[in-house]
Amino acid sequence: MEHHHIEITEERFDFNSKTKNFVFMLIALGLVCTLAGVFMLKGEAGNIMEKRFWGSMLMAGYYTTLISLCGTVFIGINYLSNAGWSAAIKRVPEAMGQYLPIGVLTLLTIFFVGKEYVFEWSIPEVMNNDSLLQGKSSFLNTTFFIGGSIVFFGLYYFFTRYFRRLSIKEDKEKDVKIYHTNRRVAGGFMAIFGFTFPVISWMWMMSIDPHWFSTIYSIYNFAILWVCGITTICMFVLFLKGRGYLKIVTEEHLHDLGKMMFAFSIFWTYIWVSQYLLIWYANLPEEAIYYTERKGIDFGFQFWFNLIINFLAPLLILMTKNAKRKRNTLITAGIVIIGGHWNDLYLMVMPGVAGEEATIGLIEIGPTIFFFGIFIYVTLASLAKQSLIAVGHPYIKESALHEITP
Amino acid sequence: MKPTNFIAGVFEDPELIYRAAKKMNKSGVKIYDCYTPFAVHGLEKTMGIERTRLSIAAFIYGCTGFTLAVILQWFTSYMDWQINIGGKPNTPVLVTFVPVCFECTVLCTALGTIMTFWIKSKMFHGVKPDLFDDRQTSDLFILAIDADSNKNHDAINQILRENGAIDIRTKSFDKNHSLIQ
Repeated sequence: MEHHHIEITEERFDFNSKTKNFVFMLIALGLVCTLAGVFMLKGEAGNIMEKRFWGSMLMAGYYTTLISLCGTVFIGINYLSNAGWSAAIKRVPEAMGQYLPIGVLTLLTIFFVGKEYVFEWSIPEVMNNDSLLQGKSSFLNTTFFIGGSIVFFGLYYFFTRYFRRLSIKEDKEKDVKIYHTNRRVAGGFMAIFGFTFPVISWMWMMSIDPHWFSTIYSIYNFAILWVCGITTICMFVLFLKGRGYLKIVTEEHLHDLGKMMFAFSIFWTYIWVSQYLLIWYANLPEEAIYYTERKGIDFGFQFWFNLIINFLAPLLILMTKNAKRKRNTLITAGIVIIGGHWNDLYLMVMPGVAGEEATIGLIEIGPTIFFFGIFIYVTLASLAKQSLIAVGHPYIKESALHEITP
Repeated sequence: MKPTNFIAGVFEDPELIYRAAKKMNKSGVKIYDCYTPFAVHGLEKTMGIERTRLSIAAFIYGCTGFTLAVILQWFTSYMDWQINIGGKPNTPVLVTFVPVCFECTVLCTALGTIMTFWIKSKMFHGVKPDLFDDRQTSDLFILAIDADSNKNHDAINQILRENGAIDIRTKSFDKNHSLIQ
């Protein structure tokens, strides 16, 4: 009511050399950590170095690709639901999606070079001597893997570019027809995403343990994508606000993002329990082996720590209204959630790849810092190319006046 | 205890009642309540209403529901009569308790919160509506001030008139909250 005469002006993010140097240092730190880890483990018996290296590369590459993909999904869902509040921050998820081609290239490189260490089904001798795996061979083969990845991620990137191009055109022409086109296209994108993302999670994550299967696994992956993506959007918004940009973004928008971080942390737990409980109750050997490995002596601590850091910590940090509106609590919760889901992905990848040799060392942490550095660089560089405020969006004024009562 | 005598400013525009409430608060007059057909954003802040404590109540209901669910399952499936389900261990492990705990927490929170809301805002079955004007649920905005505790009626009337009230009425309710005049 009070801010009816609000000014909505274009803003340009200045990706200055100081910020650039910081991001380059992050990438260099990741590279140094990885190389140090590789040299420390070089020549150890049983291909330990290769297994841990490619496992952690896959983990970090998949993690950043998921977060980047969440940018496009966020845009798609907000178009589809005709959401107004998010118009003020929509340039951030748009920019996050620009990392997708780099993400899929790194994933495919990891597959080409290190597949025999990560995906045991890709070794012909293993495949030929295993009748169970041969039954899945129409799905678990190199052609489908590469072709599927290129087609699916290509489609996602096409939609990312499409939404962004039309949104920028909207800023210039201020035509509401463009918005309606984007809404229709978003419907198509969400349908394609919904059907293809499960396949991606089966290909890149579930086939690490090729004998094991779980029908809720793709929703579990989606829960990780969504909660980490929202958290990353929130972190970028806080970073830009700290620099004095995004003047029309207020505590109310942060409150909404905080609520989503809170709610989808609980959603992730719901899916986690659903998967665990059914496998625990049914106790089928081929399913239960997955949790037997993870609850054992090697990963037991991390397994239960996973629930504490991804469920209890966000629940307690973000429970009150004030916590969701304050910069410091949001940053704390963001670090906890992103770190927590790193641990979550570690438990999805490492027991299958490295088994009992897996520990957390430089070689596991390095690739994550490296890929996150590249992701941050691409996102910030693409934020700097366009106005930070989508001035032509039909709901931009509604978003600027957005208020949550009480 | 609800006051019995009111000065009611009647407005036709949410913007006007918002400004009037702000002026009224600034000049030190305590507003009893505003009646609007829809939520006017920011009005509750200008009226000087404190933040609701309903969320604290909801948290307590949630904890109660969780505790009740744990006690129920612990007593029925472990303490009183141990049930053998597929040879699963009979220790009180929380894994099997999770779904029921979740549902009970949600149920108790939802029912408890809505009941508290009804009781606090006196919305029972068969309650007589104490409306200032029948149109306050349709297209009129009413700013009500307690006439007994605020003595400077002329100043109040002037603020209301200056901020675009189309009518200023004095209203009285009896003990059963029904309108006398």
